[in-house]
Amino acid sequence: MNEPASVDDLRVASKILALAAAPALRPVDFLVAESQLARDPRWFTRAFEEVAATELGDAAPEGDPTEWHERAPAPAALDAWRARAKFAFEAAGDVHARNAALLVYAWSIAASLVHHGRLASTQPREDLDQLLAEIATVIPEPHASLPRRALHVVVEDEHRRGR
Amino acid sequence: MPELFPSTPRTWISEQLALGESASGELQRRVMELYYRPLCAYAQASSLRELGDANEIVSGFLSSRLSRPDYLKAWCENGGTPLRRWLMNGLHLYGHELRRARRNHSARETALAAANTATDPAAVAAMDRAWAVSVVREACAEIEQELAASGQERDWYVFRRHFVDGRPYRDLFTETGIEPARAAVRSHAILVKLRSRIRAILARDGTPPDEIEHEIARLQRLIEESKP
Repeated sequence: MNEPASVDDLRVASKILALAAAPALRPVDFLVAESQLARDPRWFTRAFEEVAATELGDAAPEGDPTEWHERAPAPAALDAWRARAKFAFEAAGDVHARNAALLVYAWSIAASLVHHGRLASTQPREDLDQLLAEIATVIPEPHASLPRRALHVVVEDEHRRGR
Repeated sequence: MPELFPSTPRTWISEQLALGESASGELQRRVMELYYRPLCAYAQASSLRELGDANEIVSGFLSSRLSRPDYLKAWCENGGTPLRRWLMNGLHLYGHELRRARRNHSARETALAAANTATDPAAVAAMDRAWAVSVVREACAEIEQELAASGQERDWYVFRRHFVDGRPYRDLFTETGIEPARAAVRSHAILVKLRSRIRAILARDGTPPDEIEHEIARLQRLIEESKP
């Protein structure tokens, strides 16, 4: 591996400051902030269950939460999660509820990619990459493996398309 | 490692000062590391260069001021002024002291020289540019050391190559063996960390929280304007 240019190089310093400049806050930034404050590693499943209890109804995930990342809900169930999570996100009365809805939304997209090879989102590709990467960074193991695998599907797909 | 987001901008330095003698070495080291080069840039670009080698002047200034237990305490109590401005003004005043000592100035000249605020715009801009690079250097060094300590040096390499040089994760896979999806996740985590570190350094310097975004953009613009 060749040594990258030094950070004393003005081009590099400028680029890093540009990266550091906050983009307009995205919804996922609030989720990342909440996850950083969470002291209990079960915050993820609790947030998920909150949305499930109020929004997902019959479509709620089943079984042991620690195995959710391995379960493969049917495409229709995942579509229902995504649609209801979007609704919950818009209707949320506070940041926590909005974060929980975003979590379920991202999870449904990740599960669709991993288990069904389907991209169930109209979001721009770059935004989707970032959402999955951020989610994979903040949610605890073993759940993080699902968005990580989803990201792998996205990257492989981009490679196949020659992007 | 200092807190990422001190509750107040001066928290970290105040805490170090409160620890007394035991922390003074570490505090001086960190201040030297972060501010030495920007102050040299200021000395080189201002009338201080007439007094001799910029490195020697800055070294003399920092050792004389940082050895005083009350110097940084006065900054903490001053409120409002970023530490780099405080040091820059201090260096400016130190230059006057040097001149006075060397020339044995008359009372009138001494009075004229007593203005203690640095005002030369070109020198201030030179210092700010060097300061911007110092902020980046310090933030990157902290993250690089942290990753190296946990055996993740390659993650830092991939981050730099992808985000700074624009190389795709897949190309880097053949070079580093880091699978692209993992590289993307790790690089995003590093980016989040880098943003936090840069904000923490600016906060520690005394930039008010609501001005940090503006300050990052200003520093980046300064560097852009000076690029060859």
